[in-house]
Amino acid sequence: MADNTDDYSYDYEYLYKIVLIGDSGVGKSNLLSRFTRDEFNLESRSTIGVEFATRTLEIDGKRVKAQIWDTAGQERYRAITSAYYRGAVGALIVYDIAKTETYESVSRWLKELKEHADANIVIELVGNKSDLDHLRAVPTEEARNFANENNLLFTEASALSSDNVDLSFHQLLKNIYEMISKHQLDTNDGGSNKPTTGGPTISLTPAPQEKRSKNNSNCC
Amino acid sequence: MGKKKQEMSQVYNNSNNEFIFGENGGKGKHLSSFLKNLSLTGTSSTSSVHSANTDNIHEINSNIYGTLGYSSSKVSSNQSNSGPPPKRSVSYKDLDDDWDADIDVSTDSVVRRSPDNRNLSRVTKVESNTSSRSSFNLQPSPMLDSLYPDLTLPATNSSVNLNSQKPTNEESLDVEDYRTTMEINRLNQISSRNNKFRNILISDSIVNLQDLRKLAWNGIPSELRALTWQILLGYLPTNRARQASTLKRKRQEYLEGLNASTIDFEDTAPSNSSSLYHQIKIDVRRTNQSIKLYGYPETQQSLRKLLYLWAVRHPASGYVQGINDLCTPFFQIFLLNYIWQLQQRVLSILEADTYWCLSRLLENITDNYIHEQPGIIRQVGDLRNLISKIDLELLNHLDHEGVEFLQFSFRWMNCLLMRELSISLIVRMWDTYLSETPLGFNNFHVYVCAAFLIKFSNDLKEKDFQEILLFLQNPPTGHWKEKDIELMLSEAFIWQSLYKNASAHLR
Repeated sequence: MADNTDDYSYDYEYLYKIVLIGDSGVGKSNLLSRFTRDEFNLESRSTIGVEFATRTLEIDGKRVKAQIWDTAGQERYRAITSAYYRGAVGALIVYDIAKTETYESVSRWLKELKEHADANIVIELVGNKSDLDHLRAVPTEEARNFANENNLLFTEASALSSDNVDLSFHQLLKNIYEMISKHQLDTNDGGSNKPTTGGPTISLTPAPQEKRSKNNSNCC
Repeated sequence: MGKKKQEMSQVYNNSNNEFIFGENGGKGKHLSSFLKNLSLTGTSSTSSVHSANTDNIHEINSNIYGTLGYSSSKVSSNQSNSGPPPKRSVSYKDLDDDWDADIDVSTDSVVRRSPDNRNLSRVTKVESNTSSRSSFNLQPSPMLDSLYPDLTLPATNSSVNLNSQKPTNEESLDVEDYRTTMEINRLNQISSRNNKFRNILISDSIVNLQDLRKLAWNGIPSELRALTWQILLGYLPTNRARQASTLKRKRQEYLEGLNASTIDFEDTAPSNSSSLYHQIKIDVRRTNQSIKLYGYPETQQSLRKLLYLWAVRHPASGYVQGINDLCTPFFQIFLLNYIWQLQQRVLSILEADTYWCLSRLLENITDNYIHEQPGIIRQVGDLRNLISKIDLELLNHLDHEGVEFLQFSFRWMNCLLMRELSISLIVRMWDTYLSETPLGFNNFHVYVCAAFLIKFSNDLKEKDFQEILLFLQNPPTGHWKEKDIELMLSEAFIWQSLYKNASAHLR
C-alpha cells in the first residue's frame, strides 16, 4: 500500500539491511521517507521502537534493495533498537547540523554499533537539516575530519529540501556493494563457503529460521 | 516515516470554534449548549489575570472551589469587552444527549473563546436572565467542584417530548432531525442512559463503583466522561463527600511539585536545558500536530509541565517517548469540562487533573517504560501466544514470512494503539479500559491488540514480510467508527473470558 514507489520489490539481486540511528529529533524518519517515498512530513511524530521501509535501486547495473530500519532516538529504546543492528550491513548515523549536542552524540552511536553490529558494517555520517545553514552549529569540515578519522562516509543532506538525500543513501549502498563483492571474492579465493575468520556472514534476507529459534531470548 | 493518519483534524480545525470538539471526538459540543448545560457563572473569574507564575498558588487554589459553583444569578461581565456588545437573545433548543429543557438566555456579552488569544484570561460570560429559566428549579449543586456538570436538574422528566421540542425559533437547530421516530427513540435511549449514569454518580453518598463500571464499559456520555474517568481511575474518591477536598489537595500538590522545579517552562528554545526537558520539549512539539488544540503554546506548556513533573517523580522510567501521547485523552476530555471559562487558573487545574490521571494510568504499566521495557516485552509475548490460540494460521504465516511480533506490536503496547487509531476512538476505548478490573491498560489491552491484529488477518495472509510490516505500520483505520471499536472491544472481552483463567496459555 504505502509502498507504491517500489514496483519492482521482488525483482532484486541484493538485499541490504540498513539501520538509521542518531539522537531524537535529528530527522531520521524524514530522511527515510524522503528517500523511499519522496515525502517530507512536517507533522511527523516521534518514532516508537523501530519502523521499516525499503527502496530498490540500481548499483553497477545490479538491482539492490535497501531494507531500512528507522530507530527511535531516545535512550530508553536502545535495548529494543540495538537488536536490529544484528545483520545490518550498513548504518547511517544522523545528526542535526544546527544542534551541537546531536553531533557530540555521534561517538556514542559509533560505540553502540561496535558493541551490537557486525564488525565490518559500513557506516555513513549524515549531517541533516543542511537547509538550516544560517543556524549551523557544526562546521562541515569538523564533521568531515571526524568521519575521515573514523573511517566513515560523510554527507550533509536535507530531508526538507531533499538535497543530497539520495546521494547519501546511494553512497552507502555503493560502498556496501563494493565491500561485499570484495568480501565474496576473498571468500571464494579461500575455496570455502564459510566466511573467513573475523568476517561475519552478511545477512541478505530476514533469515526467518534463525529468528524463530531465538524467539524466546533477547526480546525478539 | 510520517504517520499519515489524518488524526481527525477536521474535528478540531474549526477555527471559529463553534464546536469545541467534533462529533466523534467526544460528541461535539456547541459552546452555547455547553454554557447552558453547565448553567455556568464565572463569578470570580473576572477578578484578575493570573500570571503564569505560581507564586500566588494559595490565592489560586482558594479560588478553585466555590467560585466555580453554580450560582444562578450573580454574574459579572464587566471585563474585557470594549464597547457595548450587541445584546441578543438566544433560545437554546436542546439537541443534546442529556438535557431536554428549553432555555431562553439573553446573552449580554458572550465572549467567544478565541484560540488565537494568547492571553488565557479570556473568559466566557453569560449574563443569564434568571427569571426566564425559572422552570429549571435551579438549586446550588451539592458538589461545588468544577468537575461536575450541573446535576441538580431533575433527571426524571427526560424522555423526549416531541411536541414540546418542536423548535419555534429560527435559531434552533436542525428541525429535520426530529422528524423521524428513529431519532426520537435514539434520543430517548441516550437520555435514559444518561439518567442511569447520573443516578449512579449523584444519587448515593457513595458512588457504586461496580455499577458505574458496568455501565461505563459500553461507553460514557461525553459530558459525564471527565467525572466518570476520574472516579474509575480512583483519582476522585467514590465517597462524594470527600471528592471536593481530594481534588483540592491533589491540585495543590501538583502546583507545589511544579514550584519545586527550576525549569522555565516557558522556554521553548531548542537547547539550554536538561536532556530530559529537551526530550519532552521536542516531543510535545510533535504531539498530535494535526489537531489544532495541540498547536497552542498554552497547551504545549501545560503538557511540558505535567510530563516533566511526572518524569522527575518517576525516575525509574522517567519520560519515555509515547507517554506524551498517553496524556492527551485526559487533557482534552478534561478541557471539555472547563473550556467555558478557560483561563490561567483553570489551566492549572486541568494540568493537575491530567497529571494525576496520567500517573494513575501509568501505575498500571510501569514496567512498560523502565529499563529494557520488560512490560512491553511480556505483552508482545502474550500477544503472540494469544494469536497462537485464536488464529494459528495467521501466526504460521507471520512466522513463515519472518515477521516478529516485536517488529509491529511494540508500538501498540508502548502507545496503547494511539498511533494506530484516532484520538476520538481511543477515548471510547478508554471508557472500557477504565471499566475493567484491573484497569485494562495492561492485560486487557493485549486482548484488544489481538482483536486488532485479527481484523486484518485475511489481508495479512496474502502479504509477504515487507508488505506485512508496511501494512501494520500504517493500518487502514482512517474510516473506523466507534462501532468498529466496540466490536473490537467485545471480541477482546470474549477472548479474555475464554483465556484469562487458563493461565498457562499466556506463559
